Amino acid sequence: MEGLLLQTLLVPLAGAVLGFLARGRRGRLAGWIATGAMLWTTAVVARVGVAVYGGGAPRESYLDIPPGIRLGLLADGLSYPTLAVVTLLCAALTCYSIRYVERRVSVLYGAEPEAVQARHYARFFYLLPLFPVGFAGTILSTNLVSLYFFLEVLTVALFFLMAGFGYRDRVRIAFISLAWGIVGALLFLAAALVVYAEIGSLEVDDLSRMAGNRLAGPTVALFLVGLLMKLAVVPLHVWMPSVHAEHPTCIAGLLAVYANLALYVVVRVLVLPLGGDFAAFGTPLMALALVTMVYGSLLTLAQTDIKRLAACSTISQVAYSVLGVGALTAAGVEGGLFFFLSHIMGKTVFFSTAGIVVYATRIRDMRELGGLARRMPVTAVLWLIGCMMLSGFPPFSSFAAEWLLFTGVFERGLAEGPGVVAIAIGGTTAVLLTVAYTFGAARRIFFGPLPAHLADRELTDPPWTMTVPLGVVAAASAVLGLYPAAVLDLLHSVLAAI
Amino acid sequence: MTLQQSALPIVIVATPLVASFLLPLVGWWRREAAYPVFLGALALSAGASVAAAQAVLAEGPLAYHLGGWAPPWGIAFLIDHLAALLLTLLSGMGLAVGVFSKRSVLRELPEREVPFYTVYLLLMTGVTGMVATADMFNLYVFLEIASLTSYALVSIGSGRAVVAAFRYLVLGTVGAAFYLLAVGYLYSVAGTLNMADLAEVLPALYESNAVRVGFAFFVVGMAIKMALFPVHAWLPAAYAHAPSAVSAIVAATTTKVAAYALIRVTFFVFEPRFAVELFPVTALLGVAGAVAMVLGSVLAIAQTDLKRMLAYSSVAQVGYIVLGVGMANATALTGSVLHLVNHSVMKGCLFLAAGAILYRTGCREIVQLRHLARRMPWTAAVFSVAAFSMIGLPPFGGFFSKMYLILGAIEGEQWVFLALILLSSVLALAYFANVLRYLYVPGEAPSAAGPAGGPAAGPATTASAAAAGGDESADDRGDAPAAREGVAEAPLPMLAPLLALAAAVLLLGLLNGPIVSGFLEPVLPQGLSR
Repeated sequence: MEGLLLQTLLVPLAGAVLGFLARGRRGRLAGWIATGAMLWTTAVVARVGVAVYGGGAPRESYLDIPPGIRLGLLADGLSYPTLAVVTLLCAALTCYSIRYVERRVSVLYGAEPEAVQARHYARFFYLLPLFPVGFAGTILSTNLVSLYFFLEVLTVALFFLMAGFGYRDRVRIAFISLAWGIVGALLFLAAALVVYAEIGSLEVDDLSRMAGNRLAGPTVALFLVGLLMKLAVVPLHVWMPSVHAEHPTCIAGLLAVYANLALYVVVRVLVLPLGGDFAAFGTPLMALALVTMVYGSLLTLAQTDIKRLAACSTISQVAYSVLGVGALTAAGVEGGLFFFLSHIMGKTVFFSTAGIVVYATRIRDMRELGGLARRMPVTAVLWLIGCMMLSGFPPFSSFAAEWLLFTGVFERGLAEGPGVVAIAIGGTTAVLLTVAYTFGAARRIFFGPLPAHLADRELTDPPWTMTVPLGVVAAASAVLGLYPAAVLDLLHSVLAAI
Repeated sequence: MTLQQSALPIVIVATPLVASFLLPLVGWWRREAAYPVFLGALALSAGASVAAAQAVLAEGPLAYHLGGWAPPWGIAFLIDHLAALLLTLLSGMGLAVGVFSKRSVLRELPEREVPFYTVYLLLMTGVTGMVATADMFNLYVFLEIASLTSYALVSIGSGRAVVAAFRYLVLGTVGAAFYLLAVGYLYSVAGTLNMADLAEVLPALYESNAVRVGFAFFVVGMAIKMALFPVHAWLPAAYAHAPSAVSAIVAATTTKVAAYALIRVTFFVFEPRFAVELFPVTALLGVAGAVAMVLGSVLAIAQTDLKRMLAYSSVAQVGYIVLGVGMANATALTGSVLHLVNHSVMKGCLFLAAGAILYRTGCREIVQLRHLARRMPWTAAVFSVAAFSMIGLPPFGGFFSKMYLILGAIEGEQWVFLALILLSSVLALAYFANVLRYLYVPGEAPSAAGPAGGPAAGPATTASAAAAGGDESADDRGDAPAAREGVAEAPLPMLAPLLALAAAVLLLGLLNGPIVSGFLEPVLPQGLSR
């Protein structure tokens, strides 16, 4: 089918344009327009899936711009599962945002006349579709510069959403995330240009020609540092907690993708074509990942702010995937990617449920919350599901992912010696910390007595547009947990060679 | 080659000249007739440039000897690929800014539009002449025409413009005098000033001290003219205080033709090996360019005035251009020329956008622009496009010139330059993101509230903050002065050139391949490392 991959970029973009056109008197429609566009995109992605599961790898190419730049798109066993999950999340979160942003706009811009508020509301929804565009572009690109371009699209979109709709100190934090995002992307670009100077091509397919080059080591390092900045691996994690804590909660899941997607790029650009030169970085990467896991988990345990809790948890969760990829065995890399997909689904449910709590109570401090399960049963159930998805409880997909991931890590450990085994054991025990902070927070927020200041307030479950999308995501995760081969077979078709 | 084609060089240069003599007469007869004549001359010159570019692409360089006198006695013009590109750029920018200037001149310089148009046309004569000429002395003449007219144009601005113009005049005159000295030295030993003749005679004289001193004077003179660090001090005030249209045209042309002259003489009149190996000026230029790139950006971050920020950004961008010259390999030089073209369009576009904002709101402080995008969406969009290009986001033009520069640095294994180009891009991001954030983001966090936020935020603030309750913070409300009720989008004569330039920024990116292969590759000097 011609142009299907391009449609995954153009349909959300069309949604953004329509939302922009609607921004005047029809501004309130923008949310539904964006949701419609995302549902259509999901359908397009599903149709791509028919081809990919049939054993094909659709490839499209547009826009030849010398020197060596073109918009090449490829859906193979590696990019398709990622694209499918990310698109599903984008669709779910766009729907979730319809009501959430309504509230956010009335809090931020309540003093303005309705026409102006509608305009702000529309602005959110014509910026939001830039995320699916950027994600799909990053995932599908086969050209280093177009990859760079889509990374920048994400960073710029995030900046404007953050600055316009975030929480405390939002403009300053928007700048922090912009600076880190752009610096990371620029390092990536510099590495890409070194590749171009050496091999005369910017195609990911040609990257393997770089293997063994005299500049291969520094280039891999440059790529890696740029991408680790996005992944927020210690010591490059500085931007993550505040950015993730203060952005509008409805894009939380997308932000987790934003950070975590760099891992996919690592696999695509470094592990697959340049595995030999990348191997030297494997063990240090695993060590850093372990430090990040423990640090992130402890940081999360110390939070009392419900949004910050979810934010800090992302630091440690991303590190699991990094650990798996650092192991550089087929099982480790596949597990790392599968965990990435599981994590972003889990984080979407977890974080968005935290958003529901803030939406309903307007309180972020967990010490002031309690006993909400009686008033908001659906939300409580969703939160518990989110806890299970993050902690790797069956039947959710993160269980299968962790299983595979640690298999890979131990494989590597047995081959490498006691140091790596220690890292592997440390990693498994860090899982316990996840259980502690997720379920600990659940106890605090939803169980125990209802505080006096909440008792006389009207607290109910949020409208269906917020709960149903999260339920769909949880169901998807459960399906993948029970039938992981749906993803793993595809990943294995590309990654088996490692 | 037809007769009409061979006359193109003189049409490009002389049309504005003739029109500038006619214009006072026309204006004396009927003031409103001056503008059509002005615009007609610019359009004719631009049309001739496009025709010349087509002719050059099809049949090779165009030569024209004024009055039929062949060199070395006559006045010779030569348009090769590089000159054709520059002429198209310069006369195109002249036309765009000319269209824009009608409304802004009526507002900023009432009653003085005829002198403005006259001097503007003379400036166009100067800058196009500098590019089209094939003779070092005529280059001096056109340089002086361009310089004197730009001093005059800057000085008609408001406030401290006269002081700024005077500083510009003093430094600019020193630069021009240095250039004249250089011409004298070269003539004393070479006995000719025709560029083609010089290129033949000079290689035998590379060891001569007179040639070396002359070249040194030339480089310093041009460095002053293009405001290269550390002789950039005249530029920020001149650009900041000049009338809007003047800032745009001066920024888009004068520093660019000086950079063009530098490239022309260093790589085409001399052989590259002279400046690279025998008398290593390029190494010095590279360092100066790199420092300018970083320092200009840092100073730009520190500015609160939009036009002054753009001016410091120009200092940084000149650094890029010179760095490309300094790295002296084919890729870097390609990047340098490309950046020259891109920067002319981008910066012209940014200054025009700043001019449109000034025209509608009277505001020039960045903090006063809060949420202006709501009132002037198209202007803000154009500003964003040019800013993204300046930062170096694909697919805009600025990305590709920086890409060639970076590739040049990698090729020359100049890792420090590579790092500094990246650093400067990040710094450019910092100052442009700040402006974009003010343009687009309504309100701001209380901790960062500037003086502009205070008075506008009234009781409504406290009310909404109270309504918000809990932990969700609401901000001080009220838009800044610029975005007040009644401010409208810029009028069409201003908006049309803005949109055209924004489109040009995009096209320069998408079409950079044909530009490089059509205009640059045929003329890249022999002897540069590739």
